[in-house]
Amino acid sequence: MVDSVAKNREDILLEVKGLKTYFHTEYGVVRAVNGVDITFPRGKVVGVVGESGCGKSVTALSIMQLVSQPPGKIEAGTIMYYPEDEAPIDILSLNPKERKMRELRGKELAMIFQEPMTSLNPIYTVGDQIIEKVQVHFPMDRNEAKEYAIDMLNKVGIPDPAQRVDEYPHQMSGGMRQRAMIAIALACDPRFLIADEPTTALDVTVQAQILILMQDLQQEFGTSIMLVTHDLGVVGEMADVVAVMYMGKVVEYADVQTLFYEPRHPYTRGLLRSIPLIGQSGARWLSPIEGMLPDPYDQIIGCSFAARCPHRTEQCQHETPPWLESEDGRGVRCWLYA
Amino acid sequence: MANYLTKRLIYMLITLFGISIISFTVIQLPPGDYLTSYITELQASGTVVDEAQIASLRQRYGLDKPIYVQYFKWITGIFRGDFGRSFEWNESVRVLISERLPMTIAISLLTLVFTYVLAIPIGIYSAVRQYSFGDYLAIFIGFIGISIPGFLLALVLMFAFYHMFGISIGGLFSAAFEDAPWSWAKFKDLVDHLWVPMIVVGMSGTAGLIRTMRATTLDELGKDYVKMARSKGLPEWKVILKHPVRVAINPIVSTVGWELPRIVSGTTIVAVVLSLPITGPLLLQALLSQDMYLAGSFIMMLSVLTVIGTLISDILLAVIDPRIRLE
Repeated sequence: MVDSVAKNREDILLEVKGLKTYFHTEYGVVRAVNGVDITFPRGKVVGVVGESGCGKSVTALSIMQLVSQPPGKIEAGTIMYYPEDEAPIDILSLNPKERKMRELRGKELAMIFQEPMTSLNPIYTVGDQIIEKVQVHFPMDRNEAKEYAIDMLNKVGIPDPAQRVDEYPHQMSGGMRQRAMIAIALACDPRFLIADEPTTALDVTVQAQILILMQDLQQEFGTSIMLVTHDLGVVGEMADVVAVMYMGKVVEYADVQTLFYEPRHPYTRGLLRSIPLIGQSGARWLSPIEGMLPDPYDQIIGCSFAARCPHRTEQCQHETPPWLESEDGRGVRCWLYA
Repeated sequence: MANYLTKRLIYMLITLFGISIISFTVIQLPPGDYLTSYITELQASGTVVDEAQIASLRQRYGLDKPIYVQYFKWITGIFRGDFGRSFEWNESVRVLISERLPMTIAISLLTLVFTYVLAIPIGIYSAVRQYSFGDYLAIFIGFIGISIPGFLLALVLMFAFYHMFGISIGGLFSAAFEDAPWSWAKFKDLVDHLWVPMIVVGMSGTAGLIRTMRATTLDELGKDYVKMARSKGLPEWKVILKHPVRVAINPIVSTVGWELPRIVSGTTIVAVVLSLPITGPLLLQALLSQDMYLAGSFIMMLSVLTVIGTLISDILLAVIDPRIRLE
């Protein structure tokens, strides 16, 4: 049942351990990512879910070493990347601006951003924005790179790619732009793809198309995907494994079936209960999680979910719950299971 | 495109027609005309004024005719390339202006290049290294540059150089070369003098442009497409120059056309202080003495350059930004 969770070292493509990314602002320190561990198995889709501000996007940017510094700073942790035939690399040991990191970025690790409107540069054609990337990593001249770009646009299902390669982002619809962005991300055949809320800005009908496209491409290229989203429906559709984040920490990690049918952490259970289900009626139809997210500037003692948790005990309010991992690879951060 | 240009050209002609009427009228608005100011001047110096001579002058210059006749005579002359005669200089307006034009254009273009070459890189640096020491320094110098009037800086420089080194930095040539024919030595002398107006005139423009470039670049630096460009693995300098800077520079490139009239008018007050032989002081003097054909032709010329400059700006904007269509 939990065969999606990696058990052997060879099955792991990327491993985030003890990641802490803080933002030092005028008003204090925001501990956006405060000790995150996530394992990304080779060739699988890992859904990272949580509310706005839980640190999921910052985790993604930390993996790419794209956190703006200052005000951001990666304070601690390792991000081990295991290429197939080469020695493992700790991404965080690389200088974000230097050659080695830049070779990983785009070639091995790629990213799709949330807003297709603002993530494409308005004054370059879609083709130029693919060609630019291809020419960094492959020794191609402009014509070869353009052929490659047309081929990529074709793969992401853009009609008339030979013609649309010369179009500007504003000449395309939202869905087409997101396809173009996927084409840019998948150019150069990266092993690890981060999709940060790839469908949030799109119409519902287009969302489904993009998800199906990503699934098809994932199977074709064998890419591992980190799917950052707040939408549990998308996770259920796409992910093999799910990491649930709350206040800068992973609170539960399990394969998707287990998570949906036997959620352990009270926060996960709360999240699942706050999805509207058609056919249910009465008071149980929707039950939101009580309370509000704590102030991001506060440093919380004990479990960060304690204030909103229906099962909290005295212990939860004073001691930080440990990460409890069972043999099948699933894990939870909660005193209920200690 | 052709349609758009035709439409714009027609609008330009209408605009210029309006400007010609207004400027001609405004020049005539103060009581009297060139001859009355001329008579006052003569009387002030104690010369006896011969009424008959004045009347004949008035007739010769057409000043006894109604204003619309004078306007008509002037405007039809312009179409034949005749801008009228300057009363004060007793010389054709065309000759007067073309004498001063080359040096005016030289100084203005030099200033323009100086402004852009200095301001754009500093603006980019200031934005990319926001709140660094270099950024604060640029902001500080920028504020000084904006707040000190050019003529004051000119006066201070002239005083300082005369006081400390005993050299005069006014004008464009040393006395020895003023009327000499062109030679290598004269050219070198010109270069020695040219940097003063270049810095004085260019300073406030540079300071303003640094601030514009910094602000527009900062607006773009935080955009998602910059992160996207980094995520492709581009080197940082290429990310900055190819993406945010290329977008941020649009408003600056597209307003280059507006500099066109400034290239010809120069900076009048600074030019007066530094006694530069350029067109600015000529216009000022023409307005003071109601030398109406000189002043009117000047204003017409500047207006033509302004509307052409605006057209150039609009076309440039469409060329550099694919989101803008000319229709």
